[in-house]
Amino acid sequence: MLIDVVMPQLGESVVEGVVVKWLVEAGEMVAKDSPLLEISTDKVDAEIPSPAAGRVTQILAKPGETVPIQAVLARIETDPAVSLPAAEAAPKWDEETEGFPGHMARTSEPPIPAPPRVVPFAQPAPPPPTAGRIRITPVVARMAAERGLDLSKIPGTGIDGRVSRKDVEAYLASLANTTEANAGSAKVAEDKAAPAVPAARREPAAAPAVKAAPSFAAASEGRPVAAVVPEGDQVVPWTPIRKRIAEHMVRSKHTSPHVHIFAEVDMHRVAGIRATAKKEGVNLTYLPFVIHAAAKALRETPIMNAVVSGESTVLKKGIHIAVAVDTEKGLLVPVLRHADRMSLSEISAAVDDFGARAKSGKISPDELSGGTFSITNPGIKGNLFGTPIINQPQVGILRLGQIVKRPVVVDAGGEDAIVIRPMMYLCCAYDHRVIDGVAGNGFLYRVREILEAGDFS
Amino acid sequence: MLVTYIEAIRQAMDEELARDKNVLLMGEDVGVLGGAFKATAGLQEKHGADRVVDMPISESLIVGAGVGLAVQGMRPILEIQFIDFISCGFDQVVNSAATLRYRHGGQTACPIVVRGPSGGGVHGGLYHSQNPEAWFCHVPGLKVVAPATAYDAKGLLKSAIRDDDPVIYFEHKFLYRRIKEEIPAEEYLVPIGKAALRKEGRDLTVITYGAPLHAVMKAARDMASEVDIEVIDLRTLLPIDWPAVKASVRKTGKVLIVHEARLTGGIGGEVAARIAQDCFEDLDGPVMRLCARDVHTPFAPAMEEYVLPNQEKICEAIRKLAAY
Amino acid sequence: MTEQKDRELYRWLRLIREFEGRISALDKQGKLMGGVYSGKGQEAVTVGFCHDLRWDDWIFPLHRDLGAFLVKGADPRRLMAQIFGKRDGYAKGKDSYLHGGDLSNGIFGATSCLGATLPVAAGMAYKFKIRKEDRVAIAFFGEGASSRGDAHEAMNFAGVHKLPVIFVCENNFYAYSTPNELQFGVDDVADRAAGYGFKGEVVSGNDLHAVMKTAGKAIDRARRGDGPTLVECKTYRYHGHSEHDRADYRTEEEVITWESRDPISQWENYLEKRKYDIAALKKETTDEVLRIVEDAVAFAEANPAPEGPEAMEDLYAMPIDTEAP
Repeated sequence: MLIDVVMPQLGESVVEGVVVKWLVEAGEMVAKDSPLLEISTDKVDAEIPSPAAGRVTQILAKPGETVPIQAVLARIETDPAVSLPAAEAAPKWDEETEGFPGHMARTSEPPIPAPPRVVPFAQPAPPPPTAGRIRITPVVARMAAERGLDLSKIPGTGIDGRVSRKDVEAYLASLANTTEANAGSAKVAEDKAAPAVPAARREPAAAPAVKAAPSFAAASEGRPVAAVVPEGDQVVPWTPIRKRIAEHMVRSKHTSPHVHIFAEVDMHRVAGIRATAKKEGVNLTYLPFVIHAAAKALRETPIMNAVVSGESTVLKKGIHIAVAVDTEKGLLVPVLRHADRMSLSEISAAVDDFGARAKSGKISPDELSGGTFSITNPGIKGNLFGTPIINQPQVGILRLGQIVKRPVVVDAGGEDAIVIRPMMYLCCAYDHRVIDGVAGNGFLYRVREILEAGDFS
Repeated sequence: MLVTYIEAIRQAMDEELARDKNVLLMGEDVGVLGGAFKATAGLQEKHGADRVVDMPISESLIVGAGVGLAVQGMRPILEIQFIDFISCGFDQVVNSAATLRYRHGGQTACPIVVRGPSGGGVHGGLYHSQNPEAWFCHVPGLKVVAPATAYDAKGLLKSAIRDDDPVIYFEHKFLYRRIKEEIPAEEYLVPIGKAALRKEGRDLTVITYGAPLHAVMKAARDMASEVDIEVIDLRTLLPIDWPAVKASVRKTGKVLIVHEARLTGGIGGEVAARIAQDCFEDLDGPVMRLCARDVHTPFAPAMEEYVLPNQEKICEAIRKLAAY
Repeated sequence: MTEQKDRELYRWLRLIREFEGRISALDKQGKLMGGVYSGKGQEAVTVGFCHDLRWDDWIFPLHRDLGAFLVKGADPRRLMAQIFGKRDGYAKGKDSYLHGGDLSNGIFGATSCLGATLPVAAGMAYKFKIRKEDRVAIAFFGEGASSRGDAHEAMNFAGVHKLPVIFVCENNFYAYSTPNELQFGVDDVADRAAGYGFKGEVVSGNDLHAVMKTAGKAIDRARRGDGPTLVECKTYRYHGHSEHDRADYRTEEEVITWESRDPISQWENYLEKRKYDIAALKKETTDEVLRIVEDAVAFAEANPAPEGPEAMEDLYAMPIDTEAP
């Protein structure tokens, strides 16, 4: 059997030793524990005794050579004629029969009692599984709040589907890429060149989004912009909902090239239906008619009932119309699901219900998400017309103007005639990334047709 | 100049003994023997037995005498043969040295350095493997440093000797002869209280100090294709360089703290708590720690390996945190 | 002394020397990892103090007193397994060399802070006293550890209460490299006993007869309830502080002088003069101790090393899992 002679570790910090000289030659027979070589380390010089009896077959390290600890210095072939089998060389020594060294009289108690056996505590039960909940991290919560992100829309790639900073960054980058491909990438490059350890000033993490909206990033810190507030001025820090609205508006304007088109709608048939209903004790506003008409037109113009995801347009199957409702705390946008399947009275009832619950703060978060198109009605003080901002990631929105009686020219049996009609400017904004003029204009024209025809069956 | 970590320590003492006649070195076997690890080899011969003093086996005396010398304006370097034995001089460190300036209302300074070999991974067993730095980080009035490179070992020791407050200097014996490093031939100092950014990265920060730095750096290199790791070497444990820590956390959002000292009550707990408090909204995952298990450092290699952090465990922790 | 006892003492001296010699060789053959602290040359101290103890007495050996372990009844196999860091060592691999004691035989394991066992021995002796047990505790320490506050505190307390403890200072002239003249200002460590109110004696630690005589008197005194004794044994270690210490802080002349006073040679001279058949005894003893040593090495080499998770065992009476979720 070949036995290795190794460089011992003589000292805790010692990592190598130097072979000083060999005391045997290759081929020589050696006895167990007879000196083989001298070594030197940082701490000690030593003679290395042979680990076995036998013939030195190989010497692997030359004098003067530095070798690491445990490296093989030589090999010894154990010679059966010299070395006895282990069992004979080390016969079993029996304490009981030979009486040595256990000679002490064991008459008294053991000096110490045996330690008690103990049982480990049972492991606590694992926490119950959490299903259907979006898992996020603190930085993601902050980014979502700052940017008004709908976290349910961001695919999480972390453990258990957790949404991480990386996921949000990827999501934001995909949004940015679709709008400003060139400008965006330039800004990413600029950001990478920034120092690796940023200045102590707190900076939101996502580079492209932050660069796109610097004023917002600063304001989101909740700090007054001016250090000194002139007497009488009042600083009103943004509430969380205000921050979200602000962020959303900026992002939408930045993301979507808005085209605003206007239709002048003759509402006299709608007014007639309202008057009839009122006699029956039913109070209808104009809004449910517009919702009804829009839902119908959306069914006919699928591209308007869509959302943008990354570099794709998702044509939504369901028609879910988000209706803006003003509340004390700010604007809320609850969603009427499957508005196209609802009757006028159902729409009316739902809108009234939303209005009441939004004011009392009882709208659930679920009712605020999933819209595919939006309608905003500023009400009787809504002025002539306005240009609404698209509710991202949707692609279109309608805004009702003030309904005003006006003299208009109508076709009365082949003859032009001037009559008094309740007229409304209806504005539609659409995302020109996704929607071309033909589709956008066609949609609004169709809404007007339905409203003027007064067919709400 | 290519030097080992222990040679860097020796040079620092040699240079400071030569530079300032008020510097002196005391400890067990530091003179004729040149130290149990040879950290003081040749210093008694060069600087004299009055200034490189072989002391009796009396750690309490070594530290206490150092305090007395310090009040007289001397700058003693006090070697504890194994830092595990500092417990025998604990009272003099925490009650005598640490409060000296305070209890005298600022009338005096306490420019002592208590240094000695710490750390495991060398099969040293229960009393030659300890990492007791956390004991001292709990004591106001002390400064605590733990270099991981030969460059820092020299620069920090020189700074510690010149510092007017008591500095506990942990030198890791695993590194003594395992590190060979180019250091400048000309004199330099490494400031106390400044961390070192050892590697920049975007995805995750590893905060460490002492011997595990080398395993962390290797892990960072080996895993470069999977995750972009930033590595911070604290170097000074009291006071910790919080701006460096926070800047990195704000950048990466994920933190793993690695130290060889035990988990419970270790420095990592303090670092994690500060991050949780000051960087909560920047976190993209839980602050994680990889430390020695809560048990003594055993002798048998398999058990020692089981107890102490190593590269494999570091990689595993990094993967877990990166995936979070 | 009877011939049987003379022979027995000889076998102990030889067993210790062979056992330690084998450990030094194993260390140089790269088979051991921990520190090895040879007591070669000091065997008569531990044999002299431990041989006549009762099984229920306690000893507190210092890091160099492997002989005390053997004489007091430690199993050579388990002791060797401990030095290999194996599972059946007394420490179950948690530490090596002499840190794990054999408490079932009244052998207390020491830490590396030398002298730290002295207060423990005093505390144990206090229990023997208040429970009126005629047992004794023997605390070994080096002259280096005599500089520790622990040594002073222990001896002071033992003097106050006249405890059944014997403080045995093994003065081998060097604490690692530090010579006596840099360690203490008195001539003999035993001089200190006067300051604690008990008797101090100096004895040649290489003369087994002298050690046994002094030990016997001190043990009797303690057992009778007449209090502690400080015994200083002047002796010499042939090796360095550990196997990785060159020990070039001492002269060759000094080493040779002490080798000429070797405790085993002295005992062999004595046996020869008593007209025993020394040649036969030497051969018989050599065979016997080699068998024990080789058996212990074979056992230790074959003994399994502990697995990693075993590191967590034996920490508390009732395990505490600080890493539990």
